[in-house]
Amino acid sequence: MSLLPAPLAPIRPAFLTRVTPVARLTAGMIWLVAAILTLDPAVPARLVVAACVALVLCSGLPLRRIPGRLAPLGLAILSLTVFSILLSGSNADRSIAAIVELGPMRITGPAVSAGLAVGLRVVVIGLTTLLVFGPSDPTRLADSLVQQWHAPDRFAYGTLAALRVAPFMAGDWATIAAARRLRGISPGGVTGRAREFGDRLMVMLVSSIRRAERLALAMDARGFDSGIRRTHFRELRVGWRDLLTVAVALAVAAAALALPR
Amino acid sequence: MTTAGPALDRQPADEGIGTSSEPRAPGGPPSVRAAGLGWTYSGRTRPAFQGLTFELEPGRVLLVLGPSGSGKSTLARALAGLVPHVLPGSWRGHLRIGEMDVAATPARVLGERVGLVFQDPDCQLVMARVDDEVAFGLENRGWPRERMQARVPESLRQVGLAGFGRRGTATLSGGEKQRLAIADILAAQPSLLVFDEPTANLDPPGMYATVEQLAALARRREHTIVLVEHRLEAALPLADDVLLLDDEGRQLAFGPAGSVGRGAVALLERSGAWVPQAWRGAEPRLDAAPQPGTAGAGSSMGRVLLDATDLQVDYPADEEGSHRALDGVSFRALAGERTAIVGPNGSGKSTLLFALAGLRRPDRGSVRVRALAAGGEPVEEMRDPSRLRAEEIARRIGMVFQDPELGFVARTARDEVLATDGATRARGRRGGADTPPPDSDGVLARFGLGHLAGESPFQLSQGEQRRLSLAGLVLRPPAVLLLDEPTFGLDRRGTEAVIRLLDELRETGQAQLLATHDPRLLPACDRVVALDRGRIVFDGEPARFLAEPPYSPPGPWRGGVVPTEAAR
Amino acid sequence: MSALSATGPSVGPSESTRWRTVDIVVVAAIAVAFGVVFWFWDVYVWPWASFLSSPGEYAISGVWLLPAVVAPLVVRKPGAAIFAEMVAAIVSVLLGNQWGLDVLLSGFVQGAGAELLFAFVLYRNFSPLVAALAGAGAGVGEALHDLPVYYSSFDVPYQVGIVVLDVVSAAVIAGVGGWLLVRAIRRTGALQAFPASE
Ligand SMILES: Nc1ncnc2c1ncn2[C@@H]1O[C@H](COP(=O)(O)OP(=O)(O)OP(=O)(O)O)[C@@H](O)[C@H]1O
Ligand SMILES: Nc1ncnc2c1ncn2[C@@H]1O[C@H](COP(=O)(O)OP(=O)(O)OP(=O)(O)O)[C@@H](O)[C@H]1O
Ligand SMILES: [Mg+2]
Ligand SMILES: [Mg+2]
Repeated sequence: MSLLPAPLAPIRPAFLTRVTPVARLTAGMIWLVAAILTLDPAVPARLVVAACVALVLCSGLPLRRIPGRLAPLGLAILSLTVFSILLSGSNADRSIAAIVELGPMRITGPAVSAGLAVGLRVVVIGLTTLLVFGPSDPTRLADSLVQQWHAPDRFAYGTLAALRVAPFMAGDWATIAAARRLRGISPGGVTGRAREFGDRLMVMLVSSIRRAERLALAMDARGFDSGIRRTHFRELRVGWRDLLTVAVALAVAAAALALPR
Repeated sequence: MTTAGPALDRQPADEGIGTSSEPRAPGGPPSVRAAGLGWTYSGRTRPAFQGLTFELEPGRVLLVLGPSGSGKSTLARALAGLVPHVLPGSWRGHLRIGEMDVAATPARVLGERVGLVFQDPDCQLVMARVDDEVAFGLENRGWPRERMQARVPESLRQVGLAGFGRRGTATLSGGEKQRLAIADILAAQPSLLVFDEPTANLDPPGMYATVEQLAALARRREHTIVLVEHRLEAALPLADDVLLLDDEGRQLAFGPAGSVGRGAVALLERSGAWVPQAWRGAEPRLDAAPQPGTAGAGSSMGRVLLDATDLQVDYPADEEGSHRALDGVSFRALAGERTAIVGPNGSGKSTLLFALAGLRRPDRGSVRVRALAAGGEPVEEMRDPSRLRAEEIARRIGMVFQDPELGFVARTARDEVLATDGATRARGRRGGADTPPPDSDGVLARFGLGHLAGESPFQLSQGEQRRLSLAGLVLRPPAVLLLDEPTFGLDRRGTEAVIRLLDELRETGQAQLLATHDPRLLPACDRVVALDRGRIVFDGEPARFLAEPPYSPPGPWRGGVVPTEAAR
Repeated sequence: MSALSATGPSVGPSESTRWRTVDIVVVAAIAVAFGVVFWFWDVYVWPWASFLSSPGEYAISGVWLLPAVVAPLVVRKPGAAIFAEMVAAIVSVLLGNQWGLDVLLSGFVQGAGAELLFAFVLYRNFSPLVAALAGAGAGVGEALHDLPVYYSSFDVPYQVGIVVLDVVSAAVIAGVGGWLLVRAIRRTGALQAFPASE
């Protein structure tokens, strides 16, 4: 039984589904760096707009499922923004006028602006991630890493194989929890719960290691470690779409950083 | 003795045969010859197998039989060169496949001649998509792309999976997965095929399809085939020769199937393996099978312990819509009654057990259970298990999961028995001296695990783990015991041991429900409930079920005989 | 003895640093398991912890660094810490957590922090002390990444506090906790395919 969310897969062909994963990864990293370069909220805000446009126009992803997918972000953004504002260094700087002053607590304009910037950063990260990983599956990512970036193929495909075990692990985790409840085990208190977490983790790791050992043997039986140079069933070539994607990402990032407020 | 092989295996890729991307012509099926063959895994004192001496002529089918732990899987690994080239250990004697000496031939050379299919389809599929999966072995062997693109659909067609290329491997049924695994190895055109219990995890239709596939391969006589299989009723008609191992991994007999078989019944029986019905000339039968209705704790027999009404369980929607795993299932379990829950893969058996245990709250309907007092009388009113606290639920419901390892809660077998009941421990801490410590070692001894009391539960063999998970439920037997595939992967001796333990537990008046794919268990049950697509399609006596199974194709359910189509 | 035996006399130095298939897949699987746990943690635990106590949640941040210690303790091969942290990061991204792409960066620096320590002892010493130091190393890596990305606007005393919490939590939870976890796994006999010690 699986607890994992169904992967977000494209439902129609789109521009980004035909861009190689490493090109999308490069483009995504460019935006990520741009978003963390400054504490000016305008920069991540512009990138958020750009990312939304890209999601709608060229990702091919089912747009209705995206809000649900991003929901866990909400609380993280809220808390990061609020605490970034409350704990900002500029609050203590008496030369900056306070917007709010409650007894010893003061909040200044720069603090609010920096807090917003940090919160928006997380939104940029979340949206870019969808653009990078949404349009194709992990197999294509591994193919692309190996064929374009010459990543070591045994590691790439070994990881891919291990990834197939993930749904079983989620099921194992649920079963382990269920089994312990049925055996009457319900520790209370912080240390009891930490121990329980460790015990469950141990059982899950043991079962994952056993599965992985069997999988590795099956891979070796099919010549995975034969020392022969691997060929590729599916070829990925860098094309104009990849160059265009990276170029546009760079241009957007530069514009977001350079435009006046 | 030391092998010369592994050193060769580690030479750089760009020398010798490895660089030729064109695999050599199949060259006809090879013979297999073993002389004084033995293997001991490093860290073990006992050999996995020893003194094997046999000759298999090209194009014949060898069936390897033996009890659990007799080294059958290890022999399969040796034929594929995983032993000694990948797994550590020490090698004795000679094994030749055609002109190749296994110990002296690099694994990659062996890999081009030998294909190995493992027992568990989930542990041998590597890629997420069917065509990538078939291509995986070809990529490893350096095939050029054009040849792969021609070969992949061809091998899918060969196993009846034409048009499945773009499917996700995770969406396939068990039988389809196993046929995909066969396509994987056929793709590389090996001439020796080795199957290690290829049907062990399959429901009857899946097993039927896989056996059919093996039969088709055997008929073509283009491969030499070695088959390890517990389900002999299915495998026997395919075999030309039989190799019989005892529990120490020694060779008991080797020869043509017909002649070895009947002479070996006594040997097989003694070693605890399943004996094919065809050899014994009688109905398959569990020695420990009790007469229905005779067990149970007198007065409480027949009282309702568990009552489920109109259960409906929906799994959350994905791209393909929502899954209704259970659809209006109503069910009562009586004290002292043992019920088998059967049905194809995905029919909802596990979901039903989870719902009954209160681990998955139904979307509609309700579950109520009661506990048993020490004498076996039901006590207290019926309660909803999903609302009970952990200590309360442990007295009412126990569950043995398909993978017993996931259910272990303690560091040693002894603690595992004691952990059964959290309440006992809590009382021990408070009350102290007046409650004598329960006799955990006595329980372990009764389950044949006495010598393992101090061992980690994870160290035990599969059969031992299953017995231990039952032993963990003895000190405070729950009123209702749920078992998911309790005899999965066990030989006859292991299965009988489980049934005996279940009989013992039933003495307390316990109600037992077991989900199973194994028709041999049914005669040991009082009642069979068959599920199909989340609904109950049969509820009645085992004999009636076996006579008229509500499935198509019926396959091995009908008296344990494989349909003639496969047997030809 | 086979030349591939983990403890056999015929194991050469090159053999012991070469990654076998089983090493790769087992480390990846351990990392995937942690990735699944992280995803759950990120989505269901962390938001509440951080909302209720920010930035005190950093006291439990060591959980994220467990793979960087556990994987090297299991396979004892160069690169295990970075490889495991990166895979765990990728998995939690693929499942969809709030940190997204950014965990690729943080995974790398965290793994590198631990990797440096294991390299410093030449992948020979796997004692609890080394594990704790490696955990702390990963914690330093984590702080180096998180300060500019998430806490750049915080007042300096808070930033110092976060670094201290980070490193201590990393040494205790990832370092010592990871070592205990591997010992428990080893006792189950699941690691027979790997170099043993003790
Ligand atoms: N990788 C391994 N390392 C060490 N010992 C092993 C390994 N695999 C199997 N063994 C041991 O070798 C012996 C033979 O095991 P094997 O799996 O070959 O038996 P089997 O006949 O296939 O049993 P079953 O019917 O239960 O599958 C057993 O004692 C087992 O514990
Ligand atoms: N967590 C889940 N999410 C979505 N669907 C699920 C989940 N678990 C089970 N299902 C689906 O519910 C149905 C019933 O599954 P279940 O595991 O109960 O079947 P089963 O009869 O135990 O099968 P098997 O014989 O293979 O063990 C199947 O179609 C399955 O794919
Ligand atoms: Mg076996
Ligand atoms: Mg099931």
